[in-house]
Amino acid sequence: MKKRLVQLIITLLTFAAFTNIASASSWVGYQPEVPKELQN
Amino acid sequence: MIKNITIDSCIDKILSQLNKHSQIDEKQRIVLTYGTRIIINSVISYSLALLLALIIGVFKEVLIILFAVSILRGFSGGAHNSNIRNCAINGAIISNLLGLIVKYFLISKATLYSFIIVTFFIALWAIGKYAPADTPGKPITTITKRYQLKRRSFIVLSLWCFMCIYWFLRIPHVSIIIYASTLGILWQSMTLTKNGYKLYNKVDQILNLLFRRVE
Repeated sequence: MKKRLVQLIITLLTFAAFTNIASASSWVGYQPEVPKELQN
Repeated sequence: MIKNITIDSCIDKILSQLNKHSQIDEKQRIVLTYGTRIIINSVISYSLALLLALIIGVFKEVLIILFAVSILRGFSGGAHNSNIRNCAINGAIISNLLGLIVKYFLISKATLYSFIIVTFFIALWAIGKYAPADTPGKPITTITKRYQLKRRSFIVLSLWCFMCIYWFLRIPHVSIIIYASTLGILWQSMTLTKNGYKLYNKVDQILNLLFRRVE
């Protein structure tokens, strides 16, 4: 159960990261600097 | 600086907890750190704006404004402040001021209709000329992506416009959703322009000065 919850959190955080990278800027609040590894 | 360390330490704690139960490699760690930072920034900004709205009694209005601004901002970009503190405070103040306008500055259906038309053309011009308006932390370098984001911004604007037309044809009274979203779209369009960037820089300077005095 705990492992599934952790997997869900990892999926959500990954989704948040890639959604932000695909968009023009963060939907609300501060836009942090995108790490070089994720820029292309 | 202290606030940055706090956010960073929060991220480290979350990632170490995740690492205990799942093997995270270096690449995955970079993605998760960035994702966590985005979530924390969003939660702080939304919470501050909505908490202030709850206190002054404009929660519904501010929620609609934030929703409209967020959707368009995701595709069109726009000005940001230099740090999370300033961005959250600036966003909270502006969204609540707009919320107060919606609640206390009542207008007729005809006036709102005219306001929608003006807003639509301003947004059309701002998106056509400036979108996607990027930030130094997240530059948009490829032409394909710029074209794609501009096109999606136009789609969001068109959907909002269809919603307004539906309201005008079907609903006899002024709708808070339409009124608040119109102000949200207008504000978001303003943040795309050069003057919008100048205004955000000015607000940044003022907030930095205020917090330096407090510290």
